[in-house]
Amino acid sequence: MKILFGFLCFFIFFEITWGATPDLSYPEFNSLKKLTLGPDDQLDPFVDASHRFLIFTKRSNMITQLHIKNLETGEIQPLISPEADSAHGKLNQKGQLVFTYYKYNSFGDICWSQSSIRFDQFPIDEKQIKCVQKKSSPIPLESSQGFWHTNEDIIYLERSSTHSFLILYNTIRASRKVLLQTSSPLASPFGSLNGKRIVYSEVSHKVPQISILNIITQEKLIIPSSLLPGISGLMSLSEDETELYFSHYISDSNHDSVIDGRDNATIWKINLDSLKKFLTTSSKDDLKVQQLTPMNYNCSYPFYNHNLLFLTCAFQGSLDIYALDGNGSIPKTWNFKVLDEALATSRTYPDRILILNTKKFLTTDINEINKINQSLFYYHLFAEDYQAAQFYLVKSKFHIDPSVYQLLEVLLKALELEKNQIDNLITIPFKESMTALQRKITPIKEPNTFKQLTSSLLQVILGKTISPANLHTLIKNNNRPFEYWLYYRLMLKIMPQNEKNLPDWMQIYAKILTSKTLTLETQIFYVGENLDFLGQFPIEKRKDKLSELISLLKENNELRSLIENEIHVLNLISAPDEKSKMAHLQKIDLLFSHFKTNYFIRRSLNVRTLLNLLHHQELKYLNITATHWLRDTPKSSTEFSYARHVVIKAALAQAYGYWQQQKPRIAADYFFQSLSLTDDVESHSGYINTMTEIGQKKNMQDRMAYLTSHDRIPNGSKWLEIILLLENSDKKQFIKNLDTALKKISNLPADFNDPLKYLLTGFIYLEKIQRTQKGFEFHPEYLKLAQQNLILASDLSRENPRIQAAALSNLGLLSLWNQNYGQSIRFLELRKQLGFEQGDKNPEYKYFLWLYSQALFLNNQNKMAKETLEQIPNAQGIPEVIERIAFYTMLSENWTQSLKHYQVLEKITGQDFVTINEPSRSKIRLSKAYVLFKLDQKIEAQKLFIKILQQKFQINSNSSPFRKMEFDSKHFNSIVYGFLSQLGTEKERILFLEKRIELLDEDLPALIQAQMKLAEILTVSDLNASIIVMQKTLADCIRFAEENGSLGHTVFKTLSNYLVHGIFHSDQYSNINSKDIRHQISKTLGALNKQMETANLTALKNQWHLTYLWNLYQEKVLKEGSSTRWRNDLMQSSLTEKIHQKDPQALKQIQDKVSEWESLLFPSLQ
Amino acid sequence: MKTFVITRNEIALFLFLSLFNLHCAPKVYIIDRQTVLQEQAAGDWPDFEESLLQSLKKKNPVPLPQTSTNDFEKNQPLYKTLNSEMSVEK
Repeated sequence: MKILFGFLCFFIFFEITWGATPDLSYPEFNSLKKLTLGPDDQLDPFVDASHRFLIFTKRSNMITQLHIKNLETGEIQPLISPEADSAHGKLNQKGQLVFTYYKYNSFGDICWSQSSIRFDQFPIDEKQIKCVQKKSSPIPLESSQGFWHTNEDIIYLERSSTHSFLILYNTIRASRKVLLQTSSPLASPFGSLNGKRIVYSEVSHKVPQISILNIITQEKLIIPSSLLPGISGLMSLSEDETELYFSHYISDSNHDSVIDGRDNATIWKINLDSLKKFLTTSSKDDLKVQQLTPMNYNCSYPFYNHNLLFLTCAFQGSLDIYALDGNGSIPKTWNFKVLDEALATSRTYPDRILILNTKKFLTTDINEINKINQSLFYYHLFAEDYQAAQFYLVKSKFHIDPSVYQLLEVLLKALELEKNQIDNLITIPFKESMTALQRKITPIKEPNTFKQLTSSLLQVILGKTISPANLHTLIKNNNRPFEYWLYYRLMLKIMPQNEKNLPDWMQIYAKILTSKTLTLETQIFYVGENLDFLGQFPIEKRKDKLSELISLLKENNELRSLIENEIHVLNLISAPDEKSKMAHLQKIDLLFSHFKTNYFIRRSLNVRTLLNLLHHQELKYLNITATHWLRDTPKSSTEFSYARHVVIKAALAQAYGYWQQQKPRIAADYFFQSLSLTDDVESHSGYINTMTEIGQKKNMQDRMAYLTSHDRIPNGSKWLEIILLLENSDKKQFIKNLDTALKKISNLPADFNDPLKYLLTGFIYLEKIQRTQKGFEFHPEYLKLAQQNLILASDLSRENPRIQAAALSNLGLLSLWNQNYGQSIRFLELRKQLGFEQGDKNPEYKYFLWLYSQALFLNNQNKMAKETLEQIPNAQGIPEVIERIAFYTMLSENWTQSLKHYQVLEKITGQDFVTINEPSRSKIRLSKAYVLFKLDQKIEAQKLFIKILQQKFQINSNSSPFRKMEFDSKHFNSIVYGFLSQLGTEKERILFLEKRIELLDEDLPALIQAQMKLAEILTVSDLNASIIVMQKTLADCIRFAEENGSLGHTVFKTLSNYLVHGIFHSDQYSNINSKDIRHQISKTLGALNKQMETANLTALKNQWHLTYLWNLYQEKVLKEGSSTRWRNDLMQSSLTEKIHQKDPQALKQIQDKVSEWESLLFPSLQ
Repeated sequence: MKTFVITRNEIALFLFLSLFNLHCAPKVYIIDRQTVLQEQAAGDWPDFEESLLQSLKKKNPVPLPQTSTNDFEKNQPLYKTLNSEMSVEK
């Protein structure tokens, strides 16, 4: 039945989308095309006249460097050598580059390449670069932002702390001319090649304003700062110098003129002839200026070339360069009718603001402009851009009652102050400003309700308590529409939306929804708010409350229907069988049909139904509703793209749902449904995978071939080729195909920017890393590319958790291999938050937790690593998991618990882990023996250590991403001997230490340490043997010092121990040749003396100890020097003084310790 | 492959030496204590690790529980209802 239903849906869908017309186009905004790929910031684009080269500045790890991208091949290269910063690159017609270079001084130089750039010769040869000779000046001059005025002349900006200059420089004659000199700061000059105009930003009365200078006539035009809310930033001109493109920060939240993702940077266009006319004819008309990008794209650095606009936008995670149609986001073909429809169908306030500004640009009707200004006030207010709202409030001043205007002015200022408060702290200046605003309200008498609501909001912002009951009395059914907004906002601030306040909230919604003054769209907004709020309660409670509301809305047929629909949907969700569900669906469908022509009601019915069905996973009905939405939406409507998205989402939700239920055949049909409509890459991938899974590869290829031949799936046909390459089950062929796939991916069109492209590219490099890795060594370029592509996939898929989950999983693995454990944990945590289908029953879940625990362990979080592993279902039945739990528990020093885990593992793998392969078995035995050793179970520990030594290893030397070091049996055995030398009788300990020493010939520090330990044990039983070992240790120490230098812990420790041993046994040592010890002491103390000036206290103390011991050794063993004299010399030495300077207490402690030690050693001295 | 395990303090010295011995300098890797401990005293599970890699390396989107995608969906502009312009006057 479900299969039949799936096909039926598909059939209906196919008819809707293809049956009528094959045209896939429908009205939607022009989209941004990404030209550079994060994760570094890439900004300030310049594109040459042929549209072949994009020059831009890349900021990475505090380095700013010019790069070039070949727009035909996609290849990116550094343009200038990275040894110094470079920025602001532009080409002339000959292909010569001018740029700002920070190589010779930090104030920058204007430099240019003497010959044209060539793509096969980057970075540009330094010999080709020539720079403008700076004019000598007592004040440092900053040079920057040069551009070609002609093929020979450069114009650039020169700035000191007091003046700014625009300089014209001839590169052939090396002559300079000042075009403009001013005492106010200038910025961002730009002019077209062979042009007459220069545009720049000039600060006047602390406000940056855009100026346009005609360098022939010296005529200067200034764009009035009152044209738009906020401040202007960077600019460029069209080639014919008729249009000016500039960035504008609608609300520069931190007043830095820098895009930071919060400033609502937008791009605008102004016609310079209109500007001139406006400025010269004292026209009262609004100056026409066209908004090109919406606020939420945060775009700046406009550069216009050949009907394309190149921009830098903080749009998808990092600053990147994008291309946009020269007319901006709104298609040029849109007339007022389409704009009005787009206004109604838009889903965000920034979109509405863009559409309204476009209408304002196109209309000449002054009444319409006034209306638009008022609308802009509201939408900026809703978008919480209070500065901009204030701007449009001023524009609407003459259309508003003066008292209301005053109240609104106060309200906006208060909201702006509140928005800029850090952490909502009520500081004294904030309180003073708010109180001043409060005082402005007091004299206003009418309208009283408006005044009281505004005043209450100000008090709430100041942290005062307001009684909801007092506010309820202010609201009737005929208030001013804005008063309902104020009332609702106040309620949201003072009353939590929880069960306790449910009756109060229903009263609030009832008051608003029974208003006679609100428009239908506003009422629908509040219904949506109400239904969202009720969504937190159980279905039955929701239905009760909705029924109560219906009884209040008797007179409002439309709103009542919205609530009724919600009840029908809830009934469908809670219905026990398909038949009853279908009955409720029919009721829903009836309502949909009834309101087919009422756009806002229809949309709200659709949205609420879909959200509820999605939330309760009623995927079948979700798909039907989505399909109906699309069916009822004409293709010419701006709503169509939204309805289309809904259908894709519903189809994919269905497809994945069936795939999870192990029904790939039905899933494939839903994937096909989506791909045939949208050419969506994710749907293609799903279709290919599910069809391959059910052995229908041929059938799938035929269907895809059919669609390709009808030019239906331009993306899909290319994608299919790539995906199939990587589906090959033959391992050798698969490896070969990785490069072919990469080549095919690089040949995809430049605008193929689907996140799956980057996910697949990242995956291929991950595979290549794994296959070429040797121990710790892997290809750095592969690492960089894998990282870059996967981060991009994650960034671009912020609205698609499925792709994001895949990218995060890969990034977690990659970072672990790259030994960046903290980062690996971060990626895996994000992945974990997205959940796993079937939860902990998913086989992937076990592996994920194992990997996550590995990252935690490597990041020194042993306890968390252990706890993570314990979350694996049936962990105690999986040997790999138990072993790691035991190991991490051991490292957490919980010996008893760790032993218990090892014993559980033995139950599965046999006594002493006998069924586990070597060398794993021995490693696990070593850990268990160590735990026994720590638990003081010495006999058991010794037995197990000895058992390890009886093993002859068959080593499998294949390394893996998880095992990077080759197993070194010799080193391993030396560790075991090390433990054994701490167990058993003295004879046994000596024997094991000797065995250990035999194995340590290549590890000098460990060898030296072992020998010193041996000498220590032998001192008691065989002093002569211990002295021989000490001599050998000294020789090894000298060898070590020759290879690694005379400083360091090993040398210091050996020399100290040798000297102490000698002092204790001076009679025996007096017969030994002192040449070696003299030699090494002289080298080490010499080295220590050299670094004394910069040494820290510990190093100074070590030097003091060694000097002291050496003097004592000379006195006691070599019989040289007088005890009193060397002691006096040492106490008066600069070394002693230095220690005293650093810490007087430290010196005293040393002296006390020395005298205590000497009193034990030489009691006769006391 | 011969691997030299060194501490971070010795890196500078190695780098300095490698400047003058480029042709015969050994490859130096910084290996943290935890990795060394694991290599010496924890079991190797090649089959398990291979399955792990096959399971966690992703070239396709990952099917997720509906609840995860719901949270994403709910916040999509697609489902947003906007407040409309109104009047400050009666």
